[in-house]
Amino acid sequence: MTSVAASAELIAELRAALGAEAVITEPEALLTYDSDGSMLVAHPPAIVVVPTTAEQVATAVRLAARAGLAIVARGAGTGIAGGAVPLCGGMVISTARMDNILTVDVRSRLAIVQPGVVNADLNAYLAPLGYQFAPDPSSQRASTIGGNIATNAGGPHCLKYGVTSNHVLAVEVVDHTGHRYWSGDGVLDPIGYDLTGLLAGSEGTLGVVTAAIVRLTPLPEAVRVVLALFPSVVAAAAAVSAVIAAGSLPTSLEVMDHNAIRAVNSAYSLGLPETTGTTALIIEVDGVQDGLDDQLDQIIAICHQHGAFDVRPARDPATQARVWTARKSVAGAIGRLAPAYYLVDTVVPRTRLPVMMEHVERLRAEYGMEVCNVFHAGDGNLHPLVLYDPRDPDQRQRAHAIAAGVLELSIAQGGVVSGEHGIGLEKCEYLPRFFSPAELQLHATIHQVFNPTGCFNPAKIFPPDTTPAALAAARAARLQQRDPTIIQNLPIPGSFVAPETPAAAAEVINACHHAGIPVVATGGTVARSSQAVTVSTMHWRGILVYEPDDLTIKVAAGTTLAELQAILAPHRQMLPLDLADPHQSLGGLVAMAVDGPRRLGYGSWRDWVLALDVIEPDGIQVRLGAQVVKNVTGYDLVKLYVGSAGTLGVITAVALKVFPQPPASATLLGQFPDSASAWAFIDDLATSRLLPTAVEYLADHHAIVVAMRTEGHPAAVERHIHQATIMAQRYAASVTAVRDTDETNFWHQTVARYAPMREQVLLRVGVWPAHCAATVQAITAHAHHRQVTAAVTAHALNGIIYIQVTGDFQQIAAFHSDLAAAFPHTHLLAAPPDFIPHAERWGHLPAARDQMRAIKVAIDPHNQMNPEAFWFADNRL
Amino acid sequence: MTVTQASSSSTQPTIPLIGFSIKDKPSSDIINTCVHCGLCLSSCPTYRETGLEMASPRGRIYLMKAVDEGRISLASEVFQEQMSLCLNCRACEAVCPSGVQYGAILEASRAQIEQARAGKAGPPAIPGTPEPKLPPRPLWQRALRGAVFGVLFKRMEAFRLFSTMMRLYQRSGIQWLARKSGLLKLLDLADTEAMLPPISDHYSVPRGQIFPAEGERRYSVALLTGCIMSTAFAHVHEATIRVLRKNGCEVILPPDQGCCGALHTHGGDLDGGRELARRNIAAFEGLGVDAIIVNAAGCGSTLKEYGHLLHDDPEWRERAERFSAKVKDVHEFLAGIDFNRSELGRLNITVTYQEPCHLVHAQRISAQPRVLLTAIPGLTLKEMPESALCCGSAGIYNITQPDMAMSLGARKIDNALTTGAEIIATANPGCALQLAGELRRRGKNVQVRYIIELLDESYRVFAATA
Repeated sequence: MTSVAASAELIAELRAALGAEAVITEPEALLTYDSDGSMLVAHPPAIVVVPTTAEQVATAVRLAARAGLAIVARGAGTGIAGGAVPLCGGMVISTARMDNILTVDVRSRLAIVQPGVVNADLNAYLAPLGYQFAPDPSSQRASTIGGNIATNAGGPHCLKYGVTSNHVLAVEVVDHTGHRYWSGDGVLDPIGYDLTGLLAGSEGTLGVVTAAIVRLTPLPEAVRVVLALFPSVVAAAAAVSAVIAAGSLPTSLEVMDHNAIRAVNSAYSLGLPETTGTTALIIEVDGVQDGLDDQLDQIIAICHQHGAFDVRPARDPATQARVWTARKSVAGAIGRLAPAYYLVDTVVPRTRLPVMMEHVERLRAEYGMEVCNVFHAGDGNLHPLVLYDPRDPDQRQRAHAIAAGVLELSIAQGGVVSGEHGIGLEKCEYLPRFFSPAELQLHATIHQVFNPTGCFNPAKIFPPDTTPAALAAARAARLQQRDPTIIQNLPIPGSFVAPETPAAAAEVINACHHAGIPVVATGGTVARSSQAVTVSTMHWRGILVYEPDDLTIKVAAGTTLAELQAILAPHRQMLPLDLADPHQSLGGLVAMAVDGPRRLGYGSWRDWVLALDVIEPDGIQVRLGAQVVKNVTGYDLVKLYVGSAGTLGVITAVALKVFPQPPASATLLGQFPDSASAWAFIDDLATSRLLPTAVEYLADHHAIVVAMRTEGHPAAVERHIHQATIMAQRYAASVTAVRDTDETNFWHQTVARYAPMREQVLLRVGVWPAHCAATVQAITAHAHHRQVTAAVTAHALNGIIYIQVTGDFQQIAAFHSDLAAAFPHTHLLAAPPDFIPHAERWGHLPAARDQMRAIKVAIDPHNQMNPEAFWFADNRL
Repeated sequence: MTVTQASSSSTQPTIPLIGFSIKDKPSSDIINTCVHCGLCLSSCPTYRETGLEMASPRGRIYLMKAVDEGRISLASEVFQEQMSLCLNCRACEAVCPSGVQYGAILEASRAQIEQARAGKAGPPAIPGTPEPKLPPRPLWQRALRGAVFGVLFKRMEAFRLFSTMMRLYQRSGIQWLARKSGLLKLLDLADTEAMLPPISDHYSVPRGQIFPAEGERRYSVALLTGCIMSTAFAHVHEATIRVLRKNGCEVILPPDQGCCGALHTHGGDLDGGRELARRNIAAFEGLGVDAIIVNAAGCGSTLKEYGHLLHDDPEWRERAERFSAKVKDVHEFLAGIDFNRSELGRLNITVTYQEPCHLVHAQRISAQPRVLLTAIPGLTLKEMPESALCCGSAGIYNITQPDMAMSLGARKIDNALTTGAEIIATANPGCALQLAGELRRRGKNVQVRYIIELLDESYRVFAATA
């Protein structure tokens, strides 16, 4: 994109719309916006605007787009991949004045914020309320929520809590025409594609975020930090693997080598030895008080076994805070050691860390430079900082060579180009080494859907030798080539095929593409459609890649959930998602993103799927994501495909994060005299310091029951059961605790309550969790009014309500219409064939349905992939 | 892709590019210690208020770097404005992971501007560029700066005379008349005037007095009496002396001492500051005391930096360093000596603490004031949000940047009022004036007190009831 100067007319219009104060044009002032936290390349913008409202952002985008200016959104400019550098000039939109926290609803565990809110400020606001916004990038003191979303920021604590996209429920975005839309509304699992997940980590190339609904996480009751000193980085890395293998999942496992220690030691009074080789491992565990010290003692013992020569627990909050401030200040403290640094950000499977560290050391010696290592060891996220003097071109060159060498080996070891900093302008050149041409084309296709004019953050992410427009055009041309005459065995609509391999399936799909026959995927053994070819994944089963210490696994898509759990169980690992039918294939479960009660403690599919192998509509096989726990290499297409109902491609393999089996588990069952007391108990639970992994409300004409599941250290489990028992008894509940097989059976029966069954109407209503009680009450009242029988099962703290309805079909249809009118997220999940709904079965179609349609059309232009899914078949695309 | 320099070609500076001069040049080494990480941004009051990169520490250092490298001119309005808009609160310094000595390069940058305006810059730092010269300040500004920097704060007799005149103004009814008549509004002095503290009716004049310790003598200390502290806040000195005596200190008020020079060094008059520094060093260095005690945060941080200020003066450098090493903030000193907790009487009050920048940031003293406050029986300390964000006082900042000073003052009082405290405790005259002024404007019945005053009161309550 060519650099365009800001015309006097544009400046005048912007001043009129935003106020003179909000438009910056002095060259010296513009100079200060020529770079971000990176020190790679600088280029000043032609103009900077500092709006205060989303409407002003929309106006600025509209005017800039009309003038043909590039548009670069900027938060605090702390990124270190050059994401906020206005490489092509144009307009920088600074969100610094959009720093209001708009809504905080702790009962719903969400907040609505403007993008310029500083991460640490949000956390300071939330802390007295007992909550946090969990992503904690090292820059959190200054970096903004908008910037965190743009880079899908991680941080030391994402080992346990996940990265930014796990904590963003919806974003408001200004598109390239200046139109604003929301990707969701904060209710979990809205219908259609997960645009929120796609937009997180898109580095400002798909629009400008003007507000976000973020998830709040309860602050733990207690935290323990220990700092263990090892004689070498390799010894520390081995201890990390041992801690993970022992089955406890700390909130963070962070490594600092002697150079990192040197940078922060005196400034933060850490008092650590600085001798060469000395490596500090920071380990944090959190949760309820009970059992935490025991957990810490076990970890300390493991450290000693692995050669730690000094282990220092940080017991008081002040010392803990100092350790963390020091850790998070390493990059900024490099100024004490050298005038500049080149920070490599890559993630490998955790077990490859020792290999990578040896390689870094080899490169360091070869090029004769100083390297400072500080990294998220628990995530396998390396951060070698190569120290250099930017005024010396030779040093610059060598620093770059080391970085390139690290990335190359990382990619060879199954790693990614960026774990949490983004591609920005720094790593564009590496993408072709990571992605196949088809994969790059798929990314570019998404880029073109949202950024067709290329105005948003040009010259970022994509390799410099081409443009997203050209790449997307190549893919579009590919999909336009259809010629049935070249196909030998034309598939028959209505047929069922079960190819032996994904490659064979790709051939079938390619044939269907040329013949213009739709494709429907299944994990089962029967054809799903009379119009389409049903492709079954039933023959693709079992492990593709599994290294238990990595806490990740890749399996073929036909593997069932039960089979997966059986593979994991001998290693005392699990996938903490419990579903009605464990004999469904993972490919199907991921495509439908069916959730379960343990979502409260562990999240859902979007939080556990790391990578997918997918067959494109024309039969080309692509790989989305990577089998590492953090990855911001390109767009998060995995999020887009999870829950996409097979409308974008056929999933052939699934890579997942897995979890250590908790040492203990128990479920408290409270039977309550009435609904009001049950919800009062749930309210008390929500505001307590307890951290249950599931809280389920079950009501039918027999009884009203609340089930609370707790998992973890035996002492923590007992504490939960004990405290919740007292709380429930306050509301005259009769209480029992179930364990072992009784517990397993109970949850089997519970999830069966929302398994789609042929003879029953099953509805799902989603609301903000704070409104769950009132919604259940309204549902019960409507059922009574319509004289239907409704069994309600709700993820009480997640706001998801399943309703099994029995009765007269006419009455049920009226009941469904009542709910659809009252609650936008009313989804008819299943019904007998002769049931005719009066209301839209999807509920209100999503606000971003135009964007969803555009994605579907761009990826599958002939609507060949599962065309009956969603409302797409209704021709209302 | 074509990348061209965006708008600079059309707005080439019409005056020749002016760089720094050699004398008191901001150190390139310090400037280059900044790795542009941006962690300072959220700590900076002017960035919080404006949201502008150039009004952040990182942005200002970037501007200094650009002048240092000859890419933008010392004459740049943006540069001069930003050097002036900075409060020099040094919150950024306290959070900077790389330890950039921001105060030093800011003060040097201001000195560069003042030297060039005064035509005293001397040879340029970049060979071949013209001697840095800027148009002189307007006459009234020069007169004001001359009166303030050259006379008022350099000669304590003049300062005391001025203070007496102000007291007469306040007490005589002229103040009432001026306020009621609208004269102040007419002269646009209403805000400045409202800032004036009620002036103590007596002064602490250092004449070599020695106040003996109560009980066993554990330490011998000297007190810096300073300028405004010795007049408007003489009662705070008296409280300080009483508290120190209660803690086994013999307190000396050495004669010939004067203003610490903070206003000069912060305002770009480094030579004026050096003159005062030499005078104070001479006044204190022969005493053989255990510590030089300061009860005003701004003076304390200035005294602790005499070593840096006189670094290029071979005759004074070591003396200055020895002097600085002895300087202790009074809270720092008390919290460090196992202070007398047994004779503290009950004060049933709710207090919030406003952290003076030059205590928390410049001297990194944050816990000690709280240790003293919470030691007082009956006192409840309620923390305000953003307690360490500058209140907007910053020396003569109220006069040079009234808008920013006002909005920061309002923000501070908003934060303080959320606590419901009846007293805002602080430890610096500038803060005390700023807070009291804003409270008075709002008609709020909240007191502003020095921590040391509260401590003194607590000792006195104990003595009265014992």
